[in-house]
Amino acid sequence: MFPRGYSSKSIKLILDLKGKPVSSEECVMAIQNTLNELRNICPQISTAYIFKPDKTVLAQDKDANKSDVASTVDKLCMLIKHARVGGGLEFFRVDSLGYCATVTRLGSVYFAMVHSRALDDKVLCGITRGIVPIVLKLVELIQPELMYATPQIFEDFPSEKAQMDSKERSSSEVVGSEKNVDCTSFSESVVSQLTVENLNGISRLVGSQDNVRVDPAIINQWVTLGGQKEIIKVEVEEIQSGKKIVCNFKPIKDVAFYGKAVIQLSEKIQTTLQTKRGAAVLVRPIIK
Amino acid sequence: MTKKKLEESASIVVECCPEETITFDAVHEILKDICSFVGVQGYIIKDEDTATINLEDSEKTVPYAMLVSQAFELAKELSQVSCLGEGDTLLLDCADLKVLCVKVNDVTVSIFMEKNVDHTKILNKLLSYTERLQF
Repeated sequence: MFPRGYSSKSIKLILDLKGKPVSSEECVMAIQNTLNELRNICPQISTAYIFKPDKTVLAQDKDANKSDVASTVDKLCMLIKHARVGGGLEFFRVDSLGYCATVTRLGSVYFAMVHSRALDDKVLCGITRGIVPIVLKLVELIQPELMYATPQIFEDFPSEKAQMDSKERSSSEVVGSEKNVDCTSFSESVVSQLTVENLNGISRLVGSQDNVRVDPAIINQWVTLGGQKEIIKVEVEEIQSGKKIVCNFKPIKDVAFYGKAVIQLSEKIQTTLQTKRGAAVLVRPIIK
Repeated sequence: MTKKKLEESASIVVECCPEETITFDAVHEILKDICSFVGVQGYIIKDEDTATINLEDSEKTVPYAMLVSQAFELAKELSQVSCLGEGDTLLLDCADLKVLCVKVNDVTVSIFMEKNVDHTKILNKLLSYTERLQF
């Protein structure tokens, strides 16, 4: 049974799954309710929110100030980008006299919480390693695109980008014959966050191991944004490590993946990028 | 794993102040001792006038400095929006790196270590030294 104090709304949403499809709004509401209930159960928690590395706030508790959360998330995302030098941010904690703030990576999203130091460590661990990850996992099963960001086009951090460029160039890895490709990104700011799927079946046997397959809906978006220019390759970047490859691409043939913001990668490319099925990657189109 | 001798590591004094405060010097001495711990990769110590960077891998000086700078900026932001009071201890846990940042008076100390190092031991050591020096 569900523990005492657990949000009835959250439970209802979970139980409704078999009856009808749950929309992304309902999923977000379930996460928000969970955060609100956490605050009810643990009054030591003053703020709780979940965000993605692209600065999107997925959910926040009902009392959190939106502008404060947005400005903090902005800085947190900068920190996440800087933390690539250490292999990607897993956990961040700030301790002051009476309060502390923690940020924990939970898959492709981050869970931030401000609480008093009176909060028991076991309770804290139960929240960050138990309750919230379970809720997020359920949401991921229902609405995977919600967790890994629906195909969004967002701007990179301009000042930070210049700083990271030299490092990224040195750490970038190019697969097979793609070395020294003379091509430019048609727009540095056009980036799609996609979910990794395995390239399997006939596609894996027929196609080259150095090719990737991209959701046709995303390709259409790129073509529209690029003014019908020909996209010759894509650059795939692993979010945590910052590792990149440039490779040829084809649209996904399996209709089950249409509009799902998915990229199919071969085992070889997954190994090179140090990523796996279900993880999020950034994909940039490149034109002639 | 054999630990590289820190004498061989890059030691860069970014800006020297002719009258370094006792606090800065004292904390600097403590850090030299802490650096002998297995798994500790180096440190950045900074006050209003001076900053000293001592890292095994000098190529990482800039990205590490930017990382801790961003962490302190974030801590400041969090303290402002959440009325936390100024954060005095920061812990950054990355996939391959751990960073412990501590504020001692006006001196900010950032210690870089391998992921498996127990940062609490280092923190306790640092705090016990600083308490002994009656900061």
